[in-house]
Amino acid sequence: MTGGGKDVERLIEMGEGATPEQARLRDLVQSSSGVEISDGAKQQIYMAVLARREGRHRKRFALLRPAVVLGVVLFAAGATAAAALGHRWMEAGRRTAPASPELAPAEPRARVETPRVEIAPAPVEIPATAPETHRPPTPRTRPRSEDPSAVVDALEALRKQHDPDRAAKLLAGYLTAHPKGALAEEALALSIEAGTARHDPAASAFARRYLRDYPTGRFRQTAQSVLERQ
Amino acid sequence: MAVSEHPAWPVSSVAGRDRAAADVDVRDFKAVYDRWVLEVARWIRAMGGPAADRDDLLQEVFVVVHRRLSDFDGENLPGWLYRITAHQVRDFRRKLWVKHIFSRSVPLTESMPAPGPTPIMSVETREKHAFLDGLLSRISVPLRTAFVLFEIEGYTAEEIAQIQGAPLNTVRARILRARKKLSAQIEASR
Repeated sequence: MTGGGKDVERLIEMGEGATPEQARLRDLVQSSSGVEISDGAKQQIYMAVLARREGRHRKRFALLRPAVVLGVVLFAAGATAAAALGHRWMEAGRRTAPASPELAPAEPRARVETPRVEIAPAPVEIPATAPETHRPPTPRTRPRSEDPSAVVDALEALRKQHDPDRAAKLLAGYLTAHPKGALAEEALALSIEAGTARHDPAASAFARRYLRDYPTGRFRQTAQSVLERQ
Repeated sequence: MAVSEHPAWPVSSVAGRDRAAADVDVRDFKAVYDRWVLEVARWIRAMGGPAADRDDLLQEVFVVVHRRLSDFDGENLPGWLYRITAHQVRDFRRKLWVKHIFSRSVPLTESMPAPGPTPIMSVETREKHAFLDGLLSRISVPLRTAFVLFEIEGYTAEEIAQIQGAPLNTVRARILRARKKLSAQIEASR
């Protein structure tokens, strides 16, 4: 086999033994470089991943929504039809009930008529929707889903559009709605950045809050430097 | 572009890669992301993912990682990430190819951004990058990946074997075959 069992020498480590083509290839490789990613890009991609995951959840529920609506409509239609048919059926039963004694006068009355007269009106008079109208309103217990896109938008507003005012508004909205959200740490760090860009004294308040909530957080140096400057 | 190429050579030291991998809690997405995002970016480049779309590809890879992390058995995290990356890059290249077929405006290969101290040097470097990219685009993905990871990204053959799940000798053979094919192309271009 070409590879053999011994280590392969890198082009860069080849000395005089390299052919002219290998030397040219080595030159090309040396002019190339490894990949690096800035911290800002890392953060941006991370938040975009979280936002995409959140979006997928929402999309899944959005797909379910028409099915739920259709189910409710079908159920309501079915209930209405059943009530109407039941009503007609009972009406017909009531209409036929008095005729029977006339057609069969010799029949003993108690045996046939008594159950028909007593049972027939009962289901007709019960309104199908009566329990619904008296049901007390149930409190909304499910928490609102977190929307990380506000933080992504804020990051774009701050870094790309250089609009710290808009970024600050978006971040304030996110932090108010989700003070312990998945991106709360990033949102606080960005709030410090936005506040500093706006020369807003709130930046130091955000910095103090950051250090309190995330004493070993990734952006603690940023927070500390803001407080030291004041 | 957010992902950049650093100009230094030799490139990043790979010492401690395994040790750091062992330290990461595989259930913690953030920890996995922080530890592996740069490596994944390197793999994407080695596999021929276009430089301009590298951030998008990183997103695609980590969306899948986020979704599947709870099912991951914890064995060979780099190998698992590498397989996801390979699938995403392959799918991306397919989509790009379809776009290219329909629009005939999207290039399948592109030159990498070239840092350089002077404009002339920058142009020279850019030309070299474009030339190398052209050469790499004409060899198969396994050969290209092994060559780039070994020669440019500074991986050892053992590390490449581990992430690719391939025998060590196969990786060594791929590196040497890639080198041979690239040298032959250089010779033919003269």
